[in-house]
Amino acid sequence: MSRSDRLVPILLAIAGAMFAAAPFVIDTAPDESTMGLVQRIFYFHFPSAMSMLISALICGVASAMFLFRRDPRADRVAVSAAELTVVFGIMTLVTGPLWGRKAWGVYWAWDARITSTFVMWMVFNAYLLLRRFGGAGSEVLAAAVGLFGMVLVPFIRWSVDLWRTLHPSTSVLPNLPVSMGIPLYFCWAAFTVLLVALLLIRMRLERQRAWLDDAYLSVED
Amino acid sequence: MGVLRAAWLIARKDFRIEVRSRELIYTAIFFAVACLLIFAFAFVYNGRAIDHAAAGIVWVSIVFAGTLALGRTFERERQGDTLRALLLSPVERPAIYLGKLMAMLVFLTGIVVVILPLSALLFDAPIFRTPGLLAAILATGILGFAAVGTLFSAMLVRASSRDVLLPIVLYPLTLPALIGGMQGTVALFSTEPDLALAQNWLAMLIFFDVVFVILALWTFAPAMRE
Amino acid sequence: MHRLWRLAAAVPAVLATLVVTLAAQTPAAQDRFVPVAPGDLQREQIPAAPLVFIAYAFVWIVFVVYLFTLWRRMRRIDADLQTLASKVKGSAR
Repeated sequence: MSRSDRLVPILLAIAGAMFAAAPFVIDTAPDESTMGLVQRIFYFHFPSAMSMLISALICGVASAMFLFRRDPRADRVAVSAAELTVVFGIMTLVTGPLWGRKAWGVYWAWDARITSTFVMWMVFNAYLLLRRFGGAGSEVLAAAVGLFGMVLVPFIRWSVDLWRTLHPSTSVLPNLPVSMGIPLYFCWAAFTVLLVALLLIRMRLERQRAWLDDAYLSVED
Repeated sequence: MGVLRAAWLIARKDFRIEVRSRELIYTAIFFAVACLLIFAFAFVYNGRAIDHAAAGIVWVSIVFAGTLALGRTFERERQGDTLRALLLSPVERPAIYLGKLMAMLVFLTGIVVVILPLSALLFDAPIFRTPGLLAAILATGILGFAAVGTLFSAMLVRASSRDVLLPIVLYPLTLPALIGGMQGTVALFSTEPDLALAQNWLAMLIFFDVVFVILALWTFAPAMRE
Repeated sequence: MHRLWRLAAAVPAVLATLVVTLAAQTPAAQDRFVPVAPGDLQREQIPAAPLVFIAYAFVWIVFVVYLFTLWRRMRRIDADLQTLASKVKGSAR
């Protein structure tokens, strides 16, 4: 057991405690003037979106490292991060429309940010499908998808922004009142701790799988 | 041998194969026309195509037919196991990519040359109103699509179930090029063409092409290592 | 009579919902969130509470399901390790 594996239960406990406390912290925030109660979705929506972006970034960097150095450790990081991108992505994509239903009147308004998140989610789903059904050698291909997916993010933003914009702009964050900032940063921290814990668990799984494959090969010989 | 000369030789090899069999160009063009036909039933209402439909129809037909062509060119290399020979030949890897990309661009241009007049004929698309800008948007959009498509179909040659995986990988990854191409064409085809918007899309497409061609050249060598 | 009153009350409510949804079709992008005192909130057209509840519940469910799948995959690997260990033991004898 490596040092990072020993960290996992601690991180999981911290994340669990923070998530248990989250409803109480969120309860201290005031209601928003035009959107009211539904704006509280923000406190889980935004951190899941950020966790998705961070996972995608990790996957992209690890994919590039695997592609050029062929280090199997980088590949394990990449596949774990890609899976987490999809997990956090589905959270973002479900909580967003629930908020939009009230704030915009429709679930899905083809707003710029929601569309680009959806495209990115599709890219990382393609990554996972490739890993699962691509057969031998698919990890190199998937690494290229991960790398291209990361580089694609600004282009998706740009193109969809040109297409249309409805979403609260990024200037929401610096203008956020303290009473709303505390619960937001608390939830963001909780999500990040959980992200690290899940990533470590998932990497350990991949490591054991690789190890098991090696062991099988040496037994067969 | 210079990289560009090697790329040209590889592209010429593909042309020669194609000129002899004419398999790709016939099948891809037929497929693109069949797409046009199917879209007519979705988007023609009371004898007229609905607003903005023509641009989308043109692009989707090009992209579908292009996917077919991408899969087929590399399937040929796989059948004869000639891709390995190509990779073993004493040319640099980026040259192989560039050659394949050049060949692909010529095929796609062939499809466009057939599809565009047909769309003008069938869906009233005003293709001669702003010919220069339209050509630029089509060229940059196709280049973006082909740049990503050539890389991934080359890598998929060895994968199992590549026919299914190519579109799965290709469509999300080329989406900015497709959005740019489609929306730019929409801006040009609408009753009052929005030239400024079209130029914005063109700028986005050029930027996309530059970044993704460089990235593909950069990843092709490590990706095709045995 | 009672029912008629309720109907009369429902008509403006429906109209208001329509106006709000129509007005909400193309709002400008919001650039800041403004807090409001607890009492000042106007009556809501679409109840927000279920939406908020579903959003939070969904996040929780995804986490639980994902952790469960991770745990299941771990267990499968452990089982594989067991069979491998017995195989090695069998061949050593």
